Amino acid sequence: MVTVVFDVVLGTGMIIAALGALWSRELFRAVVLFVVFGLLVALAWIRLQAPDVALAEAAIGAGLTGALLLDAVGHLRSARREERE
Amino acid sequence: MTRARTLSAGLLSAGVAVTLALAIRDRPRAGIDLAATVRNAIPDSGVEHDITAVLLQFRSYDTLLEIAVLLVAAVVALALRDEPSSRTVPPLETAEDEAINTPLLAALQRLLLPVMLVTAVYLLWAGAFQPGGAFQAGAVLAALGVLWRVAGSPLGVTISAAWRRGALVIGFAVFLAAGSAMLLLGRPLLNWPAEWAKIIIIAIEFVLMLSIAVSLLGLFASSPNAADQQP
Amino acid sequence: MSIDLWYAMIGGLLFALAFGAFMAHTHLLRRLLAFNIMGTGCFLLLVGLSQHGRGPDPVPQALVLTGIVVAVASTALALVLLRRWFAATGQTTLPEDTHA
Repeated sequence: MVTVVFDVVLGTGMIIAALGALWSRELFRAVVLFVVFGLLVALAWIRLQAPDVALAEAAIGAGLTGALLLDAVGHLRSARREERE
Repeated sequence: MTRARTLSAGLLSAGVAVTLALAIRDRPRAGIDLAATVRNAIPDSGVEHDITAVLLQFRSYDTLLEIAVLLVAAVVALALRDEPSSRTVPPLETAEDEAINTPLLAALQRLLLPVMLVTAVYLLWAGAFQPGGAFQAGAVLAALGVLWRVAGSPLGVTISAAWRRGALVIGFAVFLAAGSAMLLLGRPLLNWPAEWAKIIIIAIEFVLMLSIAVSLLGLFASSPNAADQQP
Repeated sequence: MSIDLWYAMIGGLLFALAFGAFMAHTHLLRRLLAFNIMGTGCFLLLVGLSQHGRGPDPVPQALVLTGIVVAVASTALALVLLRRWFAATGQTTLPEDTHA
């Protein structure tokens, strides 16, 4: 019973985080929610009995991709700010 | 974003969702049981963990191509990044000047680097019989590299560009060479003989770890720095 | 319904939602986010469906492992191209979308 609730909550959380990542007004918030999404997906991989995939998703999928995207967002924002000055 | 565009996107999205739901409901029965096939073939593979065996013995061709893709992406990213107009991180050689020098970061680095190194090597070795392997170890090493770049070199050690380029290429080169060597022995490409499989797989995973780490590090841009504000 | 089928359905839903967002947005970085989420949806679908009713299956898991690394490589490359495009034109949308 507990595991069913856990899976339902995790699945719903993934959908909500994905919707936030896709439709947030600010780009920074979208990328942060994308990282959250990645970590929730890592939990989902554990539930799917795929620990290797969970390790790779957390490290590469959420961590590295999130860092790359954050860096890009910061770059775009600072360039925009310079442009306006 | 026009109304027409949003509407058609929404319709397409709903259509895809319905199609996928129908496809999941009407999926055909699986005719083969790959898990059992892999389980029966594990003794011939040289490793005990099924995912490592699949990655490096049964479907080693996929892993070879994946390393090639990673190498190409890293090379193109490093090449394009050296243009001043797109540069937000200094080329790896001059990263020393832009490192952040705070005592907290230095202390953290002193604590973390050895632990991360040991963790990476352990993950690599453990991949033979439990979850782990070259990719996870490479990711931890890449994180180690990021910490190295952000906080500055520990003990003033510098790694020359030639070593870095060598590490980038060595994974793919060794993997391809070993796989082709099997052709010379009269076996199919990338098909390891049973008694040598363990040694070959460990050696290949080691160089793969190095290559993956340097490739991921090359793809990653570290913290913003003074070069960012140049016109 | 087993756990695997539940996550497969979540993966399918993620794919459809991200596909819609990919079509709707014109900002290239948002499209990249949508592309990544579509990829994750595919991976969940792949592993979930193959393991439904059967035990853990190492072959799809290994394929997904490969897929994650390839996805990050293509994302990194797309970001480099995006930054070059932005540096060259000051835009974050493609010319055909800028007048949409």
